[in-house]
Amino acid sequence: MALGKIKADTLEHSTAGSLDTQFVVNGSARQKHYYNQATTTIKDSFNVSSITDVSTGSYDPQATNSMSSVNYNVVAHAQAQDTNATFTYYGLNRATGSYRRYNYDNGSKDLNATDGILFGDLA
Amino acid sequence: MNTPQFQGTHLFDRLCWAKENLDGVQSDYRVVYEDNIDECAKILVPDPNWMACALQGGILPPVQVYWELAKDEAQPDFVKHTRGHLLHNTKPVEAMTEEQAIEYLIMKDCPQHVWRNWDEGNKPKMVICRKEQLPGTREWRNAWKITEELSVTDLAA
Repeated sequence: MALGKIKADTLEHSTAGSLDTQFVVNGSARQKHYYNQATTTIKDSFNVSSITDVSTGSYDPQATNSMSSVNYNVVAHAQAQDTNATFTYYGLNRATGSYRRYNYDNGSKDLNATDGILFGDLA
Repeated sequence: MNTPQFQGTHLFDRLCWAKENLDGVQSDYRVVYEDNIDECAKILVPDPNWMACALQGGILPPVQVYWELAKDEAQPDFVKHTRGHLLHNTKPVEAMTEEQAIEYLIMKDCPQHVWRNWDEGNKPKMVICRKEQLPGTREWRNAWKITEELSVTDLAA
């Protein structure tokens, strides 16, 4: 393969100590998406094959490289469109290749800027 | 740009290479499907980075690999994938056209019971369309259905 590689188990700073590289590997995000549900446009992503628009406020990001199990972590964020609106995220239907995202902002809402990051072990 | 020889390389590493070297491709295609008569139609939106990988070739595994993983996950005693190596070690698929990529995506991300018999029944359960053919406003999004007047015969013509 044409990619360069550096293999190391530890990174060590001259004075600040060392870090096991497994923390870097295991702590890196595995998937991300930045989606405008109002226009069904994926604005930025990584390790996403598609997003299934399910209904108002609800969608499924689908992974290209699935996770090894359903025991992964999702960090969700969205930009509320009304001042002082209450934004709530629900995660449903967790599978190794997808999960359901549900945005609630004074009712189910298609948000212009909704995003998520996923951490865990890859298949 | 030529794709490196990726068979045996972790799929995630291939996606890293693609993100760095390929420009995203925004597809105008959308796949509308109904997998439950009590729910509104779902819309599959292709990812631009994934589409770039599909058009480039040599990056994505055959879609059958995802079916195998789905079979494993459907087992009642499933805990974690033990055949993830299929994603990384199976020979990647060659470059696809945009239309072939959409077909691949349907078979990967739509439920099999939808696309395997999409044209059986009183009306099609799935339609491939352009983004501009979707309703212009999402005000009634939860009521969207594939029209009863859509003819499978017309689609094939």
